[in-house]
Formats: sequence, C-alpha cells, structure tokens
Amino acid sequence: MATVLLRTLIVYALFVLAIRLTGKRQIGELQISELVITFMISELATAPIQDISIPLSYSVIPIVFLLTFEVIVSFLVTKSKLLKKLFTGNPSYIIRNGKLNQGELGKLRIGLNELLGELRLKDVSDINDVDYAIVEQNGKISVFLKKHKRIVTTSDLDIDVKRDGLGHAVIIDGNIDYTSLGYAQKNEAWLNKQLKERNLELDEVFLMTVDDASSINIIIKEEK
Amino acid sequence: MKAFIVSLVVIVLFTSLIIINAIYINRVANDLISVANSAKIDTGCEKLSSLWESKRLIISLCAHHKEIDKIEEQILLMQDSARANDYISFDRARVLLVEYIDHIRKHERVTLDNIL
Repeated sequence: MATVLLRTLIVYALFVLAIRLTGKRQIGELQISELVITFMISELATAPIQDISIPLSYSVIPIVFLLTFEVIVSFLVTKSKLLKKLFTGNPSYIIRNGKLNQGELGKLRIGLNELLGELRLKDVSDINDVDYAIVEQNGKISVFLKKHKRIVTTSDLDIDVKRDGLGHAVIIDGNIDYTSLGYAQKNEAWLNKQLKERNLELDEVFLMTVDDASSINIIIKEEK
Repeated sequence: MKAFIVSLVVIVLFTSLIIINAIYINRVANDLISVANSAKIDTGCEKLSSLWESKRLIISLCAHHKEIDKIEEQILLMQDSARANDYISFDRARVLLVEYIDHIRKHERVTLDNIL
C-alpha cells in the first residue's frame, strides 16, 4: 500500500506541474490541443496508481513528453498560420453585421434554441439586437450588440473620469502581501506610515487595498 | 521562447535516454539469454541468477512487473530443477525464460508490430 501512496504522490506532483505549466486557464477555456493533452495526461496518470505492476516510467515518460510537446506546439502555433489553423482553428462568425449565418450555424452544429439560450445568458433578449456573434476557438460565444443597444459609457457621454485602476490587496488578514505592494508601486515604509496615520496595527487589519490612484480602503478585523 | 527551448532540450534528453535504454536493455537481454543457454544442470544457474539480480532494477524501470515476475519464476524453477536433477523441467524453464527475456528485448524495438 505504501507503494501505491508514493506512486500517487509522484503522479499527483507531476500532474499538477503539468497542468501548471500548460497555463492558468480553466478547463472551459482550453484550446483543443490543451484539452486533448489534459485528458490524455489524466488517463496516463491514473494507470500506474491503479495497477502497481505497471512501471512508473510508463506514465512519467509520456506525461513529460506530452507536456513538452504541447509547449513546442503552442510556440510553433504562434509562429505559423497553417499550424494555428490546424491546432486551434479560427473563430466562426455566426452573426455578422446583424445577419445570421445559417450555414456556419449548421456547420458548427449549433441549434437556434442553443444560440438563443447563449444570448439570453449574456442578457440579450432579442437576436435582432446583435451586431456580431462569434464562436471562439475554445467554444465560447462572444456577443457584440448593435451600437444603439450597447450600454452607454463615460466616453459616449464625453465625461472625463479619473483612472483608479485595480485595487491591490496589500494586507490580507494582518499579513503584508509584498507582491501586491510591489504592483501598487508602494513600499513597507509607506504602508506603515498609512497605518500609523490611522492609529492601526498591522494585525488589526483584515484587508487593505490600494488602487492605482492611491485610494486606500481598509477593513478592520472583527473582534472575536 | 525560454519554455520552448527548455521543452526542446527535455525532448532531446528523453529521446536520448529512451534510445540508450533500448540499447542497454538489448545488451542485457543478449547477455542473459546467452548465460541462460549456456547454463547446465550439473553446474547450476548461480551465474544466471546473480546476473539477473544485478540487472533486475534497471530492467524493472521499463518492463512490466508481471514479466519480471515470470522471469524470476523461471529462474527459480531452473534452480529447483537443477537441485532435483530434473532435466526436462530445467530445459522447459530455460526455454520459457529465454522467451520472456526475448519478449522484453523485442518490446524495446521500434517496429510496426509494436507501434500498432
């Protein structure tokens, strides 16, 4: 049983590394080749765990090979149009300039009900409001509404707004997140100064965020 | 680019390792077969079993463990038959042993048979 446990740990570590190296994308966002690799690796990984008479090398060698092959293919795909078409395909326009492309819909085997369902999921109740609908390489549908149906933005109204950017969580549960602090382009001395100005100790802070415009938001820990 | 180069190096390393392993397994299998064929019932098969013991670990890295068990079973049978002076069992075990080792050797070859 100890062998099974050790094998499981080795295969688990290798599998996590493999998935980590292929990228941070979710299963639904995987390209076709990445999806194939994920299925193959998961199958290969379990075989020597279930049957200890199979050498671990039967699993390790194909996993490492598939992983490295995937990295090479991904690189070559970015360099060659032909390979890109072969491995990832092209986005398909199912609605172009407000006109439904029935041929493309049939080719992709997407039913009208399915398309209407996808549009409803994107808060589109009328297909006539859609300017473009594109089936991306990962199978997801991107929808762009006609100009008069789009949400009004500040630029449409010619309003000048101050950029606030992303809120970086610099303190999480009383601990400084130095990576986020770096992203916010601040340092520990600045952070301590901010806390001092507010008469706060580091371990009293549950969450502190700083956005790119240096606006600070602090949530203090609740007393237990 | 870095990941691409690392992957390329890993693939080259693994391919080299697989080729070296195939050559090594072929050589070890040849040695084992020749020692098995030269084993005689009156001299026993100590040479064969000690050669097997020294190569067992490396072979087990690439051969199915059931095949390893079968080989060990035949070596034990040969030893038992030698002790009991049973020529027929000794020869039968030797033929099977050679067959099993040959199977591992053939398994490492890149043939259409193996691929398909």
